[in-house]
Amino acid sequence: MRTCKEVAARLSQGLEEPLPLGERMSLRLHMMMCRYCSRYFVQIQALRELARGYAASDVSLHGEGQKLSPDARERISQVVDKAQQERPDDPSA
Amino acid sequence: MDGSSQAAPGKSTLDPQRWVSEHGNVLFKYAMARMHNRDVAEDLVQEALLAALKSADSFKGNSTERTWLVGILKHKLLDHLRKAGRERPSDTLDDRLEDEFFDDRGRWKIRPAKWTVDPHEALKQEDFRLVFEKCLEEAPERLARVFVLRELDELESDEICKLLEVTSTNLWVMLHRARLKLRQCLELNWLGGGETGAKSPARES
Repeated sequence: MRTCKEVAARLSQGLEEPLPLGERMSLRLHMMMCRYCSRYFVQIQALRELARGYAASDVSLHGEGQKLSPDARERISQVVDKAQQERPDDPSA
Repeated sequence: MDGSSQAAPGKSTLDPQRWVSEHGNVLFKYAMARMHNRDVAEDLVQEALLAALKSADSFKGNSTERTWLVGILKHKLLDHLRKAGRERPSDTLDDRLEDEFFDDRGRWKIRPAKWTVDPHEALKQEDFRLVFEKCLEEAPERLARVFVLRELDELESDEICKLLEVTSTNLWVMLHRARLKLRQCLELNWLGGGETGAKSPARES
């Protein structure tokens, strides 16, 4: 009998590549008897859909979200400014 | 004032302030599109500009300033992604990660709950997006990176393996662990219903 830890890992792998038939049968059998692994399987598939749905409608990639925030702009300006001050005056010297 | 016009040549020709004001948004958008994480994207823009400053002599005007800067950023991005893949998943931190979820006999320690909220309804809600972002940010950095490439960018497994220079087995293990972590985080903070009120996502800026 395989442990839930092994089953969960194989279920996840099954989202990446087709598993052999025997393997799929054995996982299905385990899930018939184990509601947690069964839930896990449904939920990692939901997670995939959620992730793709999230990316497809990623508001952070549109409008104001795609701009540097004023804070970040200020911070980065200061950092590069400081770095520039610390540069040798003449790199070739 | 002595009216000094003797600005050092190295300094006078470089204007990183202007880089930020003129190209900052473009660079940031580029990094965001791949990272889906504001903090990481901001850091990468900063790193890229610092690198540009260091290698400013390499800018000969063969390309536009913007193309040159984006090229440097691309390089930084790839470095960052590779770092995510480089360590082997068997490294200590991740093994402990799985121990959080399973006991020493391989049984669920943190049992997946019944999800009472329809995940697809969730997508329509701003709160969900905040929780999802928070979960991605809280997950171990390199697991989150791999997950983003696979599930948000929808790159094929073998593309990711090539990009990160990892074996497919390592990739599966990393994805598995990312899913364990993210599934649980979503359950706690959003989907589980019940006690979620107390854990509503507070966004720090």
